[in-house]
Amino acid sequence: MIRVKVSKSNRIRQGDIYRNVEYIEYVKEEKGILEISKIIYPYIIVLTQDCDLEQDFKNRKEKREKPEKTQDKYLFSVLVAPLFNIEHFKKGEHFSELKIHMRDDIPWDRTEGNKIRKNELPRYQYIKFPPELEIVDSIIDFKHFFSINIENLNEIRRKNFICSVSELFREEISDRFAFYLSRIGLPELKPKEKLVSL
Amino acid sequence: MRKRKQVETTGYAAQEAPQTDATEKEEEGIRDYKEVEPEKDKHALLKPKRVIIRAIITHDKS
Repeated sequence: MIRVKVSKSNRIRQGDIYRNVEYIEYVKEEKGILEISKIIYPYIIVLTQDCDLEQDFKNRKEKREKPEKTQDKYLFSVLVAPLFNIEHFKKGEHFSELKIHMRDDIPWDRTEGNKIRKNELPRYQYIKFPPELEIVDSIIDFKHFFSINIENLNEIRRKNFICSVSELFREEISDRFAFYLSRIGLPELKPKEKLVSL
Repeated sequence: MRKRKQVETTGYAAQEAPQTDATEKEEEGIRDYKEVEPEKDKHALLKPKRVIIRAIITHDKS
């Protein structure tokens, strides 16, 4: 189980969990009709490094007080990833509202399932929340990270905040996300491909 | 599917039943477990969903 803080901060923090966050898929205009497609994620977690978020907050504050200040530390967007109900994930149904069917054959009581629960598979982060929170046991799928505009997130911050994952626990998530992004997948070469002519 | 706890309501008229002030509780950062459990069941059902908005663009003729 992870430790969380439920008190709100005056800024966005790494590890913050928000509800009902919108992701704009596309905007198009054709023959006078504007069409906007967005995905609303029930829960997301902030992955951006906390020092970057803190510097952005301080820079904005300094800029308001002293307009001559530069905006060198401003962020445009924040990296986040969605959280899914573990029961939906096991059945491959967590994207069913988007008509996307995910893997439903993970052997939860065997090696692969155990590895996911112990956070030994790079792609996933399994999180067990304290029972007092509204969120059930969840899983982060790092493959589906996305970015959202920091000012938009700040507008909904107070109303949509649920909790913030505490230090150490949030650093572990961030560290595993960074490892997932930087992984190198090597192709399986056929015998003839292994020899490169010089 | 998690079982929903039965909420004890005998002895109260509907308008007299104790109400949870969710806003205050959120500001304090503390929520009672019994109040949260029905919400937990509700939130457990949530999945990402797509919303498409269409609007007709009108041009300013001025």
